Amino acid sequence: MKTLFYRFRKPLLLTAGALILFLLWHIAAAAFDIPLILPKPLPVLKALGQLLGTAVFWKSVGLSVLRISLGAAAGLIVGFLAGILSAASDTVRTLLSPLFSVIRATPVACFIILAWVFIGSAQLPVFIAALMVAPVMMTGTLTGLKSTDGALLEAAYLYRLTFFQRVRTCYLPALLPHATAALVNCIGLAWKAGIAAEIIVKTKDSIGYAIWDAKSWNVDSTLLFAWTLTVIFISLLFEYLFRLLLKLRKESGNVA
Amino acid sequence: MKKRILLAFTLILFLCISLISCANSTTPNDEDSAGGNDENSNSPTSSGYTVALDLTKEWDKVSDTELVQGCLIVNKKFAESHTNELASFLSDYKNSIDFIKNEENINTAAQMVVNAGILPNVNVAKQAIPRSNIAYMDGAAMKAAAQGFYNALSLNSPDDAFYYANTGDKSLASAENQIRVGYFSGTTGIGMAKMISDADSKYTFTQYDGPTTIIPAIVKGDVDIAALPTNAAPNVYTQSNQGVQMLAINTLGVLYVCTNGTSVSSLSDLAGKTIYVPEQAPKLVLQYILERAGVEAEISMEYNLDTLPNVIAQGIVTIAVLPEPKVTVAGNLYAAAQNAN
Repeated sequence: MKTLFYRFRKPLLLTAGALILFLLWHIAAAAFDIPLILPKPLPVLKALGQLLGTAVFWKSVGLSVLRISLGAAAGLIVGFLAGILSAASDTVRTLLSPLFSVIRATPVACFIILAWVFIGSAQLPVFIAALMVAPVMMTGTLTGLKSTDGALLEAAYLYRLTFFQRVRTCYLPALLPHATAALVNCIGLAWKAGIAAEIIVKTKDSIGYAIWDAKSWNVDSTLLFAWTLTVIFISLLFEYLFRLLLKLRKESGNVA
Repeated sequence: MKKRILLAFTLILFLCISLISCANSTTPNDEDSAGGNDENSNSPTSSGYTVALDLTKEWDKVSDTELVQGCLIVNKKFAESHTNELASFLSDYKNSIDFIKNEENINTAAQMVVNAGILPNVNVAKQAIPRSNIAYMDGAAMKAAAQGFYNALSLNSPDDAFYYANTGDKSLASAENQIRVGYFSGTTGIGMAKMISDADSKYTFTQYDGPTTIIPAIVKGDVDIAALPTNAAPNVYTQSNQGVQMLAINTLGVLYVCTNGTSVSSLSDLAGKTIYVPEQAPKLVLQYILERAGVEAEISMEYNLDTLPNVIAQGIVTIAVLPEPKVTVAGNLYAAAQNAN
């Protein structure tokens, strides 16, 4: 029994922590006693359970995940390429830096409103997710490439390695830790910003639209909280999956 | 090395261009500013923006229930201890509604509504107020109308305890008691514009951003009476442990079928067309009316309340159902676009 506890202590402690959170929530809701403003956890979980059985739920979740993943992927590619270019040429880096500074400095809500006019409700979450990922990826790639070991490069020159061999042995090992760390950092951001965009512009068939609908038409706080739990859960799932990916990379060794 | 940089650069450019063009290919706003004006001048039979059908009248034709879209709710605890004050309030409220409804007073009423922040300007107010079907109902009439409305749209219909029976005696009302009233911009607030303008010391009026902020306020007791869309009231009742009651109905229907570039003179003209609605309430009302009238049409919710007035004013869609004051706003947008030509 003791060894079981020891082996599974991490998941057990995590579950215990989550249960304590729910308990605190329940106490607060019971004390406040206005379900409209703060519903109790059990009705919320029940509502969530009911949601899981509806087709609308899965359609909205699927499409939201798809949209934001596409946006994040696009941002990843753009950021990655921009990072490579910036690392290769100082001119490019200085030219690009005002653009990325502006993107980093502008509040997300501002971008949502500004871009809404040009892009329309359906594609806006894709764009916002890309916008969140691109600057972080660029900085990550740039830092990674800049941190390549100079001595290793000299050795590669001495051994007359080709460009691709140099990439594999010098650049890639330096780049990957920074790039993957950047990615894990901004994936949560992309998801949150994407959902915020969906709520503001009410993208059809999306989680954001369901949240807005629950608030405005149904005036149903229980439903609202249930959807929010879904968003939180998916965000945690994404982070967990990416961490898993990171661990696999580390275990297999970075040298390709 | 330089060649690869160039290659990467062109790749990024290509990606950006494809992303932007993909986004632009489905933007309604962009498409119309190039083609919208042309459409209006090219099609000889297009009749411009018209408010074609009054859905309140259409509802009455097909149903013996009533379309009641705006109401007042009262905090239940307050109602239980202030029956006489509420009777006095309701009497003043009825007078206010009668004043604003009266066509002779439209100029004064419009100014009052604008001063209270309920509608944006006098131009919009003068057109929107008559079309908002302001009416006063309380007690048994209110209960019958509301229940009929909820049952017609299959919304959850609360029990009898939800409806406030106006049994107080206004002559017994204590002059000391302050009643705090909340409202927000839009048709549900129009009825009280005269009371706001009269500024009787018995009443304090607070403007809120909308249902989102007014609902917690009345449930918590920060205001005693609040204006609200009728469809939201039952949910507030259930979610606040029966903490509110419906006090009065202040608006019948505010929905209109608006057309731009096509001609619709009766409900049957809508058969086989695509009608654009901005949100749930108009959609349910339209579906109910079409079903009862036996008219089959396609309903699309592609545009929402912010974008649909623009879209119909520019003729990108030809048939839309809008609530006041958006009906008037869309009309003004259309007129402005025509003048700019």
